[in-house]
Amino acid sequence: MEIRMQGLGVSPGIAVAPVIVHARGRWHVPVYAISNPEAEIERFHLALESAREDLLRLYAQTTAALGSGHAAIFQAHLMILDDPVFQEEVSELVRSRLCNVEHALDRVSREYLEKMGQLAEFHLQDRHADILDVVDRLMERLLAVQPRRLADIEEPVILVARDLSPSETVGLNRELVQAIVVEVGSVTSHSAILARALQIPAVIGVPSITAKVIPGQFLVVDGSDGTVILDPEPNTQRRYRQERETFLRRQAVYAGDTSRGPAIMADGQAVILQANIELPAEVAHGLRAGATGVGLFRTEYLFLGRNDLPREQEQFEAYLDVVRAANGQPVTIRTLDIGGDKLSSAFSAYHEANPQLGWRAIRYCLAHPELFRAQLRAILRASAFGPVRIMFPLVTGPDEFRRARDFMKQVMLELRDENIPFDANVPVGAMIEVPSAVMTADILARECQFFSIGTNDLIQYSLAVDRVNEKIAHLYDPCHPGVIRMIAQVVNAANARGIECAVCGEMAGDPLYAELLIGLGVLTLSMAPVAIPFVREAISELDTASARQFALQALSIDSSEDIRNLLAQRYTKRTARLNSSPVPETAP
Amino acid sequence: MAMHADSGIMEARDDIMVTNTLGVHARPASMIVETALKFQSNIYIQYKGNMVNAKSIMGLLTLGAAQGSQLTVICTGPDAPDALEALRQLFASGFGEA
Repeated sequence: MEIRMQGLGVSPGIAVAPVIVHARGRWHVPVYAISNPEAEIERFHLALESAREDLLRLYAQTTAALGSGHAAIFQAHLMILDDPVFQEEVSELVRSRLCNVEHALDRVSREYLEKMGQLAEFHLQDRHADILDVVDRLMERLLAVQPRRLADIEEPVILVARDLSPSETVGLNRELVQAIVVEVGSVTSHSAILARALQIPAVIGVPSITAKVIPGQFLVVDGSDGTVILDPEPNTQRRYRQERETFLRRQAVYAGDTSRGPAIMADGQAVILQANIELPAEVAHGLRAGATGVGLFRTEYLFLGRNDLPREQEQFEAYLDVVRAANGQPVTIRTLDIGGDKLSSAFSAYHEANPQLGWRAIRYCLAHPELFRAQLRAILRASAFGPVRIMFPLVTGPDEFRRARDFMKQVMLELRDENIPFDANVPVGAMIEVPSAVMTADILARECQFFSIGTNDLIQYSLAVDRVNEKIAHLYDPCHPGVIRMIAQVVNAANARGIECAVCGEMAGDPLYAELLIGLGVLTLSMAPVAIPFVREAISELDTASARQFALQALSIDSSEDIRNLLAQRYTKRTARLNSSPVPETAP
Repeated sequence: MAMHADSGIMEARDDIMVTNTLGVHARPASMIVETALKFQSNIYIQYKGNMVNAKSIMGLLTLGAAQGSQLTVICTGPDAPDALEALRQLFASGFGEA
């Protein structure tokens, strides 16, 4: 019987394939006596040389694909590999004990790892993993075992793991690894960000899945909605295979699509489509998919997975990368949207019973002026090089917005005193994702130069639903009359003051909701790059007058279910025509 | 600081205080190696009876020097004074932490 599990979909796409389970294994290290230590040490040097070539290649590949930030891990590995003392200690042990080099390498590295293990307060877990990674690389060569690297997978598979290290994720063969499912992680974890950047479907947060699956067993993974199905019934398999085919075929068609600029509705009305990105390298994906700029640049990746805070210069370089890559198109940079619980424990051994209602986002930034100043300075400096907009997350009302904006003004004065160029008219806006911001949208509209509705959090906060909780996830409902009224209220408040109101949550990237949002008056949608061609196509079928009419109708319907049915009915009618139109054959 | 020219080899040594909040953790350790590698001199850091080579990332990771620790830096070689000065500045900068 098939078993359904629910995780968090973090990278869209569908896969139906057998499973491989990835577990980090340690080596069985042989011990034997040798008679020629110099020959043994020569073996060690050959292994070092070959591992170095590997790391240099990975560093170059990762820099090219994802930027130097993600490649830094391989620099750390090279520094470990090239440690002169470590190398000498291994060689010395071979000479003094006349033992094989594998044994010496194992002993010396264990001693270091033990000493590091005693320094818990220094948070060296990442370096611990790095040293193991380097030792594994050397052992593979010395023992002449088949590298068990994930890069060497030979058949199409779904990869299931407890977690994946950045080096494992970037090393994946994108043709063969059809999807990734991991037990731990959050939307902003490294494996999630990298999976999105590499466009591999991924679901995270599926507890103990490595224990539940048997290698070779079939699995269905839907990286859009987080569904994982173990032992799918033939019917389920068939349905998902079809969906996968449709997804891939349309993606291939869109890859050759050169549509640029705004999406144009049937009556000629333009709708701006922008990209949500996490990494500078994703700007290119967005532009290729036809985005007009970046509607949401999440900056959290700069702050995660490290023991310290990113310095102003490092942030500036990242923001500048995005501004340059956007090539004159606007970039909306959201200030830090995580809290004390997510930042490295090196800063705060701080835990909250309820982080969603806790010390995070703009609250955290206002409480940490040095952190906030460094980020604002970096963003403002980047604004001298192209159109930048600044967006504050989790704004709950006018006072909070004013405090953040006034702080930014003060930072501007500091930059002016230092003669550092920036755009003095940089637009500042609020992400609308808390019900109290909706209720005060008319006041906020006087202070903000734009709004962007974060529908994911707005729905969670207003319906009091944590969608990761499988018992209540079904209550997360974009069609709830309360949600639709809130969106309408925000758009009306923005229109009354003539400021832009964008939508940047998942609703914006789902073609199903395009008619409703546009009918409510939203003319800017920001979404994952992969969604842009689909939404563009859906919009081309829409007409302003009938979308308006439909939105008014939806606002008067008193049941979520009826709204959803009507929405789906209209959408299916339009797409039936689209899907029946012949799709040209294109090479993958 | 002690410095003497003895058969052409200079030695420079001094006590240096760890000022940054997080102590000598992963990133400062890498920065120390990067700085040390710019010099020909042998550079050792002594802390609590533990002596590690400043060009060895593995050694530095086992140093365990928290904020407020007093380290002794010993440089031996043709560019010993410069090496000592570079490390002194690196520690004084707090490794760029806010």
